[in-house]
Amino acid sequence: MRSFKGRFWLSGTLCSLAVNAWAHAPLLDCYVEAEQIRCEAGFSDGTSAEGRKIMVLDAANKLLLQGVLDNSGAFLFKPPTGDYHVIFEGGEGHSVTMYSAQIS
Amino acid sequence: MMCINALKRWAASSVVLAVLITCASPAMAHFQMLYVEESALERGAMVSMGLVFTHPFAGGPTMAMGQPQAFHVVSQRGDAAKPVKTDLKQYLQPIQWQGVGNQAAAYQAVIPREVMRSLGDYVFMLEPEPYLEKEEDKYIQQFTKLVMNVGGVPGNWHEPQGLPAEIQPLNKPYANWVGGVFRGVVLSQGKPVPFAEIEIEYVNHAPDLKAKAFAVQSSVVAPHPAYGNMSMRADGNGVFEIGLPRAGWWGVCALHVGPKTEYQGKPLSQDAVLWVQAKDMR
Repeated sequence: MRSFKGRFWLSGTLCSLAVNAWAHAPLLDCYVEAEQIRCEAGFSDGTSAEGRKIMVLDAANKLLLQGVLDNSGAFLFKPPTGDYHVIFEGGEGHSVTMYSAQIS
Repeated sequence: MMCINALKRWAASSVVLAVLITCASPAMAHFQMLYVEESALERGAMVSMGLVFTHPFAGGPTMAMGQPQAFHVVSQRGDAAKPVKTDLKQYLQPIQWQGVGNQAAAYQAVIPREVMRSLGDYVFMLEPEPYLEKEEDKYIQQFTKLVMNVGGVPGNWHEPQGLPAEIQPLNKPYANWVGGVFRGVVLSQGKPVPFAEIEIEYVNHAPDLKAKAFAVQSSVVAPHPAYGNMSMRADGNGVFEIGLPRAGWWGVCALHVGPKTEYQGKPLSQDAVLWVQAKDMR
């Protein structure tokens, strides 16, 4: 597993794109699209992430915004100033976190 | 007299040797390659691809490709998502590929990150211009598929794509351990082909996309001609299963399965090719 900068604040948070696949592992990737950040989420078995919760927090773990993934498993937002991270709530204690330093 | 007898023995043994050498050269089959170094990407990225028509076990001879008739990718993120089709012909560039023993016209494609940025499956499809095999005075056209994935979210890897000649994978072509098996179905216009004739070859000379060449040195040596180009038949439902004994790329080609049998007044074989990547368990 990769080690990323930043503290885990959520017990059980998992922070890698390519960790071992569970039967139903949450997966997340974010990238810059125009002047927005586009995050895409899904599951390793192909299940849709539509309606699942996604959150954006700052470096002090203050919640900046939250929303739900659309019917294509995507969520767009304007990037905040400073470091931030995105958490995709995959359910049953499985979450994935992506840090702003990883997003380009 | 002794000298003449010795000469006779030498001549006879030379003939035997020549026959043995001829027989021992691995049987070769044409394979349209759609080659990338890595089919399972962690994140979206720019991808370099080589399009080479060759004999991958022997690394050659390599045949000259004409302008591809179609080259596109159909991507899908998740089971329920709508597939997205992207034409890739604009990314094709003609190159000369150095095979083992000869050089021939081929293509490379640099697929930008914008095309491969999202999570999901990417089914690349190439419809080459039919190739005239002069020795047999017939055309060969190999409808070729390469399946890639970004980030582990599956999509349409197993979906038939409506090609005239096609191999439908029953395992993810981008996620195979060495020692595992790979299964697929041979399709002609979407329908299974019972007892389809199939050839399998290992890419035995490592491709180098930067050098536009195969490695001169092979990875393995075939102990017998039947090992270089392996033949098998699908079962009565068009289903086949192959083992994957070594890491790298394996090509599966189903022969004569497409509906068209003539091109420019000559016989045409429409084949289906699928590429499968295997990785060591370590």
